[in-house]
Amino acid sequence: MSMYPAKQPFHILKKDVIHLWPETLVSLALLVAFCWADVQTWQPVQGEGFNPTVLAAGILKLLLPISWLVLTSRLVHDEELVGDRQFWTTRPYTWYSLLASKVLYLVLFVCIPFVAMQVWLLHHAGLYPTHLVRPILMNLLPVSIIFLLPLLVLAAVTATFVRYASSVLGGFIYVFAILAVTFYNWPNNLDVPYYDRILSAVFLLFPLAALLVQYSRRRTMVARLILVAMPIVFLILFALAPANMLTQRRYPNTAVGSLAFDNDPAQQEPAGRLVTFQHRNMIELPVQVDFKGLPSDDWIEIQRVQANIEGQGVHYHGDWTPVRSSLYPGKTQHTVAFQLPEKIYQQIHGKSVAVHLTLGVQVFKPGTPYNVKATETAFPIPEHGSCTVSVDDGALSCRFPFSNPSFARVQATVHNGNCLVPGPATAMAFGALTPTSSPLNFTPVEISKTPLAVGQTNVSLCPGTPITIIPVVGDKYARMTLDVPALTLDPYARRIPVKEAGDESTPTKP
Amino acid sequence: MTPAIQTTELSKGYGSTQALKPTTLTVPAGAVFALVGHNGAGKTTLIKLLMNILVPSSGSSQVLGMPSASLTGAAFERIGYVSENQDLPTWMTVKQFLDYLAPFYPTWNLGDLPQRFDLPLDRKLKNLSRGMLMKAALASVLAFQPELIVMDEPFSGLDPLVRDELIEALIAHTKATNASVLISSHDLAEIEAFATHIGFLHQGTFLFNEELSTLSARFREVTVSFAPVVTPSAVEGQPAMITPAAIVFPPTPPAAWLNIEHLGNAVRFTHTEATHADIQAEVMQAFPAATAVQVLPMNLRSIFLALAKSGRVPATPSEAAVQGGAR
Repeated sequence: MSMYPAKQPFHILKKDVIHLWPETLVSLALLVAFCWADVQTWQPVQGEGFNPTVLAAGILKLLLPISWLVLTSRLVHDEELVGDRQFWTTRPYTWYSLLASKVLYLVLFVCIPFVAMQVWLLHHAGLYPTHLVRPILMNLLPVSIIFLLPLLVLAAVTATFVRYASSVLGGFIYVFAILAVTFYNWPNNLDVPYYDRILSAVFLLFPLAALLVQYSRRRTMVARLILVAMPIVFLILFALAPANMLTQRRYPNTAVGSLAFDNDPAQQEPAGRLVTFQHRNMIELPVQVDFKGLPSDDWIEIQRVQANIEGQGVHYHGDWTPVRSSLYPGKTQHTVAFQLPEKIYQQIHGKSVAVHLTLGVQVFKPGTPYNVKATETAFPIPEHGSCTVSVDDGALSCRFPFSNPSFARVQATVHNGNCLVPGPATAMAFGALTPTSSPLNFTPVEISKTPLAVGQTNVSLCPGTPITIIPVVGDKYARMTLDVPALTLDPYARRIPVKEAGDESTPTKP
Repeated sequence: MTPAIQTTELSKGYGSTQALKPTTLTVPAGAVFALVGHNGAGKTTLIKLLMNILVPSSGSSQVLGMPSASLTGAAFERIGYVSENQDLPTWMTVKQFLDYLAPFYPTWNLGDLPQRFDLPLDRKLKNLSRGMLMKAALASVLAFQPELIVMDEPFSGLDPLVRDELIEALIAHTKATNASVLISSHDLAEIEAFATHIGFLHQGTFLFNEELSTLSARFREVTVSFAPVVTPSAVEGQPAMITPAAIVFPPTPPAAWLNIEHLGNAVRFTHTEATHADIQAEVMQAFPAATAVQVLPMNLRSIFLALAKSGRVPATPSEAAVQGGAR
């Protein structure tokens, strides 16, 4: 070949840059506009009501992927792969050079500007992008896999923008329908341990396979079938998920304390109409549980519940149900809700049965305490965060890169006055930084506000107050069991209080 | 020598429609093969199969010794393809188009092609007339001096001047490089001027494909003359009465005779196997009363007319061919 193979992608790229500069410019302009709008949303809202900047940021967040959609279409369709009229197929193009040129274009004009935008935002937020190279690149990965790869492959199997846009829309509807079917039939299988890796692999490999088939062989039907098969494979994986096996593997029988049933009648549900989860006809039963033998500074996250019911001719073995609730350090009581099919409940609700609950939990341990003085100017906290306190709201305002990375307990000695006039009494106040997680972050700056409280009462944290941040580190997964030999389920079933005639007050559940 | 093109039972179907029935064809290296047939005959399908644009339903084909199913990338440094059915990057100017393609080819030498074709280099392809677009496409192919040029209906709809320019350029190129050419066209007159081989495709099947010289040698227009019947007048002094000869036709004329016509004192027909037959003897055996036999060569147009008239080739394509040829 005249052109050294490594040069061909750059030659095609140069041609695309010349051809697609208007679309590229629009995409970059939207990115800049998004930067500006996102920064505006960091400021506290003055007063109440409509905030046009938040609306603008929201619109730009939508327009940005749309601009990528248009750009990808124009880029791929410049050397379209569908049909039999393309001039490039009878020219000395190599398929890998062509594909490489398109990927290179997206890297240069979507990924790198996107990273630059994130670096600028992080810097502008007082965070340190130079310390965040890995998270920045890790955030680029889902942007590439969730957005760019599907857009690229859908453009590769369509001939025109209209068909491409219809395919993107149809793809959304198709995937949503598959998820709806899964949720309706196998709701517990949507969150199976270890499954996220398998699903991610499928989500990556199927589009990649379709893309390679289409570019290397131009077999549009085969590529389309691969794409159509992907959600079906998801469906099959969800339907056949060995949820119980994987859940038991995730939560081994490790000694982490014990559970006891709290039969305090005050914890029973108030009278009212039984709540049924319509699509599965399930009854929810919240019961109060005492956690015993746990170190006082352990933090327990309850992630799964499984219930067995024996007695009165019923032998019910329930599935593991995903739940997510936390038992905070120092607490010993927590409500655990399990589900039971209404049909079984109706058989035994007034009778005494044996209830055996198994909880899948994750134990978190306190990490090294970090002491710092809370100030009005930004001060760093662990895991690359940056916080401030202000006299006005008396809460800890923090900015984190991408997400609040983990649980962290915040404690400080506060007085009972306000920030201008200190009170005489002091008390230990607590707060919690709670994690957020999103597979995809357009904006790299996560903002959280953490009020501190003494007991149930919020207190003001004043500038100049020393605070201690205790990160909570995931320690181990474990299984905890609760046996209640004789329990009448009726008082524990979730109910909606029913207003009686003439009763003006609306009873509420505590 | 490796043939330029060779197909073995190559076919393409779309559902129940067979666009190209199993076809075996050889285009020798250095040949200019004219592929003729009416719209829908399968010409474009055959060409697209050869260029690996379509996937065959069965059979195989080789182009310049390479399986056409694997033609890609570097193979197209040796093959030039020009088609009226190709979407060129119309946003480019002619210069951008030629400059863009140049680095792909090791043998690229545009030379004076833009001047010869009078190409407006700064005009966008989308603003070119059809003739100019075909000239730009052909220039982009001739510039890299391919061993094989495949052209799908390059002349249809072009004005005669542009058509002649393209043909001249093509002839010059084939003479200079000994390149092989496969060209599909309706225009028999132009094809006759430079084609060495011809194939007639009808409803996905080759009715014939052979060397043009063989075809021309095979077909002859034969005119058999008979002496008129002279009946002496019963009345003395009156001239004799001359009536057309009473020609007795053979009950089963030879299969190679087409369109036998009675023209007064003559019979005219087309002989399709003139190379293998002693026409004189054959005629005398069939018409012992014949007084003279005239054997004339036929041009491509006359051959197609004869075939069409005989019903051996459907009339429609021949009519199209004749119209082309009559220009």
